[in-house]
Amino acid sequence: MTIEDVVNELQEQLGSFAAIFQRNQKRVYVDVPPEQTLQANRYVFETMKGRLATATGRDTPERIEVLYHYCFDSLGIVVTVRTWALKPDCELESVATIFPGANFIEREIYDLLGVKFLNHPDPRRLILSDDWPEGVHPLRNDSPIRRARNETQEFMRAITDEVTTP
Amino acid sequence: MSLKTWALKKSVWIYHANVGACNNCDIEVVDCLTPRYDIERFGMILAESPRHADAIAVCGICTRQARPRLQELYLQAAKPCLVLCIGACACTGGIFRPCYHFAGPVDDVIREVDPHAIIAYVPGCPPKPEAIIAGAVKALGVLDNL
Amino acid sequence: MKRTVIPVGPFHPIQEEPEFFQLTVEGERVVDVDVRISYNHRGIERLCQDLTYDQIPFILARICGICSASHPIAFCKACEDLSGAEVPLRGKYLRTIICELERIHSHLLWAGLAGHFIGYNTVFMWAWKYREPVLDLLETLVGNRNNYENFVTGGCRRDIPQEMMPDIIKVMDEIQGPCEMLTNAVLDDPVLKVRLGGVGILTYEDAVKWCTTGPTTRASGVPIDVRADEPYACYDILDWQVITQPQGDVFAKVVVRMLEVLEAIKILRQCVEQIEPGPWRNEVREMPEGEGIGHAEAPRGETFHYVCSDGTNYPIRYKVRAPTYVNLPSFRASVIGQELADAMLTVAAMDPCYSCTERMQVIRPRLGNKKEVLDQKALLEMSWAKTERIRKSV
Repeated sequence: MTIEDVVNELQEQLGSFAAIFQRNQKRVYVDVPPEQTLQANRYVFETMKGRLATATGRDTPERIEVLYHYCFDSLGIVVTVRTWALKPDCELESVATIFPGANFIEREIYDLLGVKFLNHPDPRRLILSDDWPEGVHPLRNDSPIRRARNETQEFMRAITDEVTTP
Repeated sequence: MSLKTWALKKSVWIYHANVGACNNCDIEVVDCLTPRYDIERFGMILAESPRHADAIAVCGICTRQARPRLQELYLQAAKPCLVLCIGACACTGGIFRPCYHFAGPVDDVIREVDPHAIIAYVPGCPPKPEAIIAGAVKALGVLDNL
Repeated sequence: MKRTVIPVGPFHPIQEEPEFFQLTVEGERVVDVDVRISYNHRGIERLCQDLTYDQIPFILARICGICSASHPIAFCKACEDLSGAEVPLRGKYLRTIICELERIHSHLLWAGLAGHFIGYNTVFMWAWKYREPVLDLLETLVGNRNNYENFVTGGCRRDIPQEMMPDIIKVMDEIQGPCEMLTNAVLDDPVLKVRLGGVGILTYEDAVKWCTTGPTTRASGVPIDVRADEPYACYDILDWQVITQPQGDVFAKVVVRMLEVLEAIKILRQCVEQIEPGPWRNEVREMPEGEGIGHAEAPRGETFHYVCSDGTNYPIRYKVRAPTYVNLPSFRASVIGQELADAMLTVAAMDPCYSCTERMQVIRPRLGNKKEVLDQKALLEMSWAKTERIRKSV
């Protein structure tokens, strides 16, 4: 099986709602609307036997993109399923309902970018501290955690304390 | 020098705490126990509980989550207790100082609960085991004045 | 049966990373396990958005002290995927040399700690003693025992002079004997087989479902290794093998790691033999717009990096996924059902940048609600006592 076979298979199965783009000999990107994210992820994981390496979140002006990266180890390629959560609700179906490997990965995206994963088996905070204020997501471009190279530590603490105190 | 201080200096039990480090400094601290540097011949071993500790070796930037726990740890240790800040991250925050999860270099965190804490700084990234031993020995010299 | 929740709090003497485990036990069996990780979170992804592509490898070397070479290499691969840059051949050999030296010192480190956990303190001391020549060698080659800032997009930052290559062979000769001795000692020891065999089994299906990587998954029979699947550096031109074991228990993980050390020594000898003088870096001056993905095989598994660029000097999104991040949740599959004395060993076998057990506080509601507190020493002694029982019966 080669990368072209993978692209053709994706085109056949998901082409009705997804846009498939082969970037180079080893990278394939599949853009999927949020309504079909479960279907696409289920197909890539269960039928095509991809291994979820991680999921990345990206903050853009109108939406937050979530990219699920699947490694196909025997072929040495990475297939990225890109979906998005529209602002301001930022909700997306959770892939952790299909397989448990996505559990921690989605919790991290919730912490850092504020995407709510619906039906996630364990939607708790993962990597931010217990006293971190709710609603402050560090990787969002509009979050108050902005950083300048010469900021002192007191200034940084003032920013986070400012958002902590109600 | 009282008998207690003399006995303490002869056998320092070090408790190691990682408060947000990359593990480099932690490996070098544990490396001090191994046959090449072997601090056990000086009577120094790693203590299993902070209550038995004579020195706390702290590595890492103090993250927000670890900050109250580090203070609790320091309060649990019997005084006099040295604090060794191992590595650039513990001394000043190092390259992670601008991070949002950074909650103060270790000396500020400890001084908040005990303004008279004895703190020694061992800079480096990571400091070599020789530097850690030299730092510990220098800090022990302070105990003479107690 | 009454259930007890055991908090395994963040700080521990021999364990290097603070993590908070909550084990729910019924009698001696673990029925549920949960983890709280936040103590080590530093916000590196946010930091990387304000640094240039030249500055980022220095930060990445300090994500984890033991995967100090793997994170920068994955970054370089991501940037090379984005920009299409090629690495010259000598640069590839130099990258391989550093990566394999790191693999040796990391696996020996883990072997020592695993030995300490089951009461084989001699293994601890010997394994760490034989790490020292490797660390000295790294200091001679790149300047630091643990942080190798030698990787940039397009190659290596500095050359390793040809005169230093015989030193590598000398160190390999020095440690090959002891590593083989340690490996054979592990494979032949009947007590270890009983103590570690059948403990913390991660089945093939679970390993796939939880998407684990590295020796943790290779010990369950899943033959994935980034060095073979998507070769980087020189792994496609050297002669080496992917080591797998089918059983999935702690013993299999030990065997996989020890054999990987011997494999790494083999790879290093080939590198030194085959390396030729030449350029070691192709300068990359511009980063185009787009996305890049790079992954490398760290000693613990696959590190996965994603970079998104808008054409400027600073990435707009940089994502790092360390191998322990996907291996750690799999403890739900391997720890549940184990005895208390084995729970910490199972977590340690996953090599989460060391083990993650610490001071345990066992609260057993007895007459008058008396608290029975087991500190770390008692916990270790529980594990050592089990080893002793097994040794007497074998």
